[in-house]
This record gives sequence, structure tokens and C-alpha cells, in this order.
Amino acid sequence: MLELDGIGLTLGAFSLRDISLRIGTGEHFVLLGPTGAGKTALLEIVCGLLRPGTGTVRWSGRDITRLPPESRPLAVVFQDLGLFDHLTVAGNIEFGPRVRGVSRTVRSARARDLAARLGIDHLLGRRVAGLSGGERQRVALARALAVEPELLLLDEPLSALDGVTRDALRDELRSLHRTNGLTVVHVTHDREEALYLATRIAVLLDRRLHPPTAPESLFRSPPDPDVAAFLGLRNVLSVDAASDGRVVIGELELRSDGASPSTRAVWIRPDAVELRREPPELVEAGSADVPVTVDEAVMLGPMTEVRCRAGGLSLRVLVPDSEAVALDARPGDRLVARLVSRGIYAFPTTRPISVTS
Amino acid sequence: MTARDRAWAFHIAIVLLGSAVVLLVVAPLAGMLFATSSADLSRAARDGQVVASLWLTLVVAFVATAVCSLGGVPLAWVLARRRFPGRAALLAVLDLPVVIPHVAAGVALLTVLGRHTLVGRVTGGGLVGTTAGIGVAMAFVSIPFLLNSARIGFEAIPLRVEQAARTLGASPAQVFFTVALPVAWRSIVTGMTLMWARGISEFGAVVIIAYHPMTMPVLVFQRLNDFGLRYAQAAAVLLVLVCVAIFGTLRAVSRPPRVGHRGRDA
Repeated sequence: MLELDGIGLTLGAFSLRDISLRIGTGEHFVLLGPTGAGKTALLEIVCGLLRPGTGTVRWSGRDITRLPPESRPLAVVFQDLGLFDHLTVAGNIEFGPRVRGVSRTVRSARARDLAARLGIDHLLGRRVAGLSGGERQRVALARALAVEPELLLLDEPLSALDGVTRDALRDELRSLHRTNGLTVVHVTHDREEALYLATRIAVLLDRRLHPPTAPESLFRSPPDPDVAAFLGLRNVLSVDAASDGRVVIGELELRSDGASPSTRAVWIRPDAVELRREPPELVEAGSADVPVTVDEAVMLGPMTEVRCRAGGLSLRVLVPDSEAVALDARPGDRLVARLVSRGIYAFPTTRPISVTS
Repeated sequence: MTARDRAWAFHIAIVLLGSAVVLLVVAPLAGMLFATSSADLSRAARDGQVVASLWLTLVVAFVATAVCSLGGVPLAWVLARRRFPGRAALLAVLDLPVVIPHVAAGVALLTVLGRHTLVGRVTGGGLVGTTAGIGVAMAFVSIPFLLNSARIGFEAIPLRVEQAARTLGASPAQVFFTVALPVAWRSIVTGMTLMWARGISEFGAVVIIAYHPMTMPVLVFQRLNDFGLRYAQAAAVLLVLVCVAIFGTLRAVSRPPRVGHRGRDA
């Protein structure tokens, strides 16, 4: 288990305070946050390149805070890779075992095996300088795995890759984790990557680390509106008044299962809103139905996002493309939206909302 | 004047001014080369005093460079990689030999290499008038060339590369020998070449430390004083030709290979 206790760091104007985490053996733990949040600094503290001002880092109960990087039982794939351009692909993969005193035969066999698993065995004799982005990334991953680390740290490992290569490598990372059960700490700003790979996700936002949760929980029940906005969730709205099971937003009074008098913000799930082409005059007062006016409809692949206004609010509704064809929403159309209470998530936080989306 | 004319005028101005600079370097060397007959050159090449002086100069400058590299190259790495209080001041001090007059450098060296100094007591008479003293004088004036070239070479290695090596299990010494040195070797060789060349050409500091044994610059000066231009010229041309041959070869060896541009997309 990796344990961070009360980690604090100040680097010029940048600072991290009181970061604590427990990451279990065999987890693929994702630290998710925007650029500049301090994710890489935290990773550098774990691998020993930065020494924290306060706090301790423990691995399997042993305090490793002051151990130099070469004495820690881990390997890192950095965002900028840091490949050895003066060596071949084989030389790069064998570097770690070589400096750790592993015999030539063993390290060479290990390099061949890893290269084969990652599909770069045909490149073993090539210099890394001329390789493509995807090939370089695989070399960096093989190089890290070659030291047989107990803990693998990944720093934005897919961010520099094009879509097709990124998807392929993402699958490989998932499969690697499943087959060898390695403990992985992975930092990224990419929500989709986090969702796809993580066993648990912790969001680092505004220098505050939110408690780790399962990916599904994070996206279904985000802890607060700021996290929801960072996750790209639409329809995060400030509440004007709230009571048990009800919230008032502008001119609308809506039912929300989790609402209480302390609710400050809600998230209207875009995929839980049902749009119907019905005369707005038929809408009954007090029902879950709300008349809306369409601003525009944008096709997003398998879903279409219908942007509309209701009682002074801007709403985004996701409609499966097959239904969008039948609905045929066009700017200016007047439709009816059903805002069911289970589709309106009341944030548990009582902090005032700083972001709306 | 049209835009095209102005562009031409600018190019012509650059060519004329640049030619003047090239002429400043080439004219004296060409003048000396053409003014020296092959008979004089051949005589100089067979002159025992000239040959001994040439060997002394090349070997002492080379040994000074090699010995200084043992400490200078790791120092350059530390200066490239570590930030510590007083680093800027240290860099400025290490550059001083380039900017102070070399006669003054010779006088400064006398104060530590003379008979009545600590070095004098340890060596039993000091290094003045010795081959070792010549080597120290050459090293003093030329070490900044090695330090700066090696430091720039080390600074050009992305820090992440060395950090990656540490996380893979390499100690700082292993990072130095297996990553920093192999990547920066061209800059180091260039620095050593410059240091060697600068040591060979040193006159001011060397002549104050040791008139004898005579290095080539001192010999050329002595011949100019005692026998005139013709005798000095042949020795000087010989020195220039040997240096051009050696440094041309070293430069060719340490030049980075030409590589074509290759796409990095997957």
C-alpha cells in the first residue's frame, strides 16, 4: 500500500498542503486534475525527485520519504518520456536492469519479452530518436516495466498521442494492469482516460484533493459543483431556494430526490431529460414537465446535444441520435422537457457554488 | 528605391562587411604562408630546437587538458545541474582567466608557483622554469573553454532524461557515466580541443613562468628578437600547419552526424 500523509510542498508561488492518500496494492489509481493542479509535483514526491516540505510517503508500511529515487521500488513513465536518445530501443529497455546489476542474459530476455508484449520487438535495434510518438511511448512503458517495479507511476502517459494510438495504448495499459496486477498511480487531466482505466479516482482541484471514489460514483454523484464542472458535466446550476425533495431555480420549481434545505446546487443530468414535441399549453402546473425553446441541436456522434432555454435557464439535453432524428429539434422550436426528480442531483456540499456549466 | 533594391543593398552591405572580417583572419595567415619558402619550412622542420619545442608545446598542453578534464568535466556537470548559493559568482570567477591580461595571469601564477610559496616548499623549489609550471600556466588561461563547452553540453540534455535514469535505479555517478557523458561527449571533446588549442598558443602567462624550456610561441618570439622575421616565420608556419591538421581532424570527429528530418507521428 502507498500512503501519503500530510504532504505539503512550496515551490515559489506554487504550493500543496496537507495531501493525504491511501492507495491499495493492485489498484490503478488515477489522480485527475487540470494542468497546473500539482499532479506531477505529487508524483515527483512519490518517486523521490521532489522532497516534500511536510508529511511522509510510505510504501508497504516503510517510510520512503527521504530515500533517493534509485532506492525506491518503483518506475515512472514521464509525460515527456525522458528516453535515452543515445541508446537503441533495447538499450533503453535494458537500462534499468543494467544499472541494477541484472545479468546481460536476463535483461536481454526481459527486454525481448516486454518488447513483444508491447508490439515493438521489431524496433529493438533501432535508435529511439527516429521513432513515432506511439512507439516512443511504448519504449518508455517497456523501459519502466523492465525493472519489475512494485509501483508504476504514469504521468499523462497518453496526452501526446493521436486518437487512434491513444486508444490502442489505453487498451494495452488496461490489459497490462489486469494481467500482472501491478499497483499503478496515474495522473492525467483526461476524464475519459481516468474513467476507462481507474479503479479509483481522486480529483485534485484548486490545490485541494477530493476524497477518492470509484469512477462511476465520481461521475454519477460528484462531490461538489467545482468537481462536476471540471468533469465537464453540463447543467450544474445554482439553487435559489431548497426544501426536502424540492429546489427552486429561477422561475422553475423542480423535484429532486436528494434535495434538502441546505442544498446550494444541483446537476440536471443531460441524459435524464426527456424532450417531447408537444404543445406547451398542455403542460400541467406542478408536474415534471417544463416548456422549453430550442436554441440549437449539435450532433456529437451517437448522441445529439439539444441546447434550449426554460424559464430563464439554459439547459443542455442529450438525446440518442436515433431519437434526435425523430425529434428533429430546430432553433426556435417549442418543446416539452420532462425533468424527473431522479435526474436532478443535489450536491451534498453546502459551500456556495463558484462555477456553473 | 524599391523594396527589391533595398533588399539587394542590404545583402551587398552584409557581404562587404563580412568579407572585411574574413580578410582580417585570412590575410595575415595567407601572407605568412606565402612569404615562407618551402626550403625555410623544411629547414625549420629539421631544426632540433624547433621540433623539441613543438613536441613540448603539444604534449604539455595536451597533458594539462587531460588532467584538467578529470576534475573539469564533473565540475561542468555540477554547474549545469545544481543550483546553489554562489553559483553565479563561481561561474564568473571561472571565466576570469579569459578576460584578464595573460601577462597579469603569469604574475598571479608566480605568487603561487614560486620558490617561496607553499607549492615551492612542497616541490622543493617551485614550478617556475619547469615543464609542470608551463602546464599550469597553459591550464590556467585555457580551462574556461573546457568548462563552458562541457557545461553547455550538459545543460542541453533534458533534465527529465537524467531524472528518468535515477528513477530506473541509476545512482548519480551512474547517471553521469551512462547518460550525461555519452550524450554530451561532443561538447566535451570540443571544449578539450579548444582548451588544448588555447594552451598551445599561450605566450604571456607561459613566458613569465618559464622562458626555458621554450614552448613554440616563446621560441617564435625569441627568434624574431634574435634572428629576425624570416627565422621566426618558418617556425610559426610549422606550428600553424600542425595545429590546423590536428584540430581539423578533431573537429571532424566531434561534429554531430547529419540526420534527415523524420516525422514523429504514429
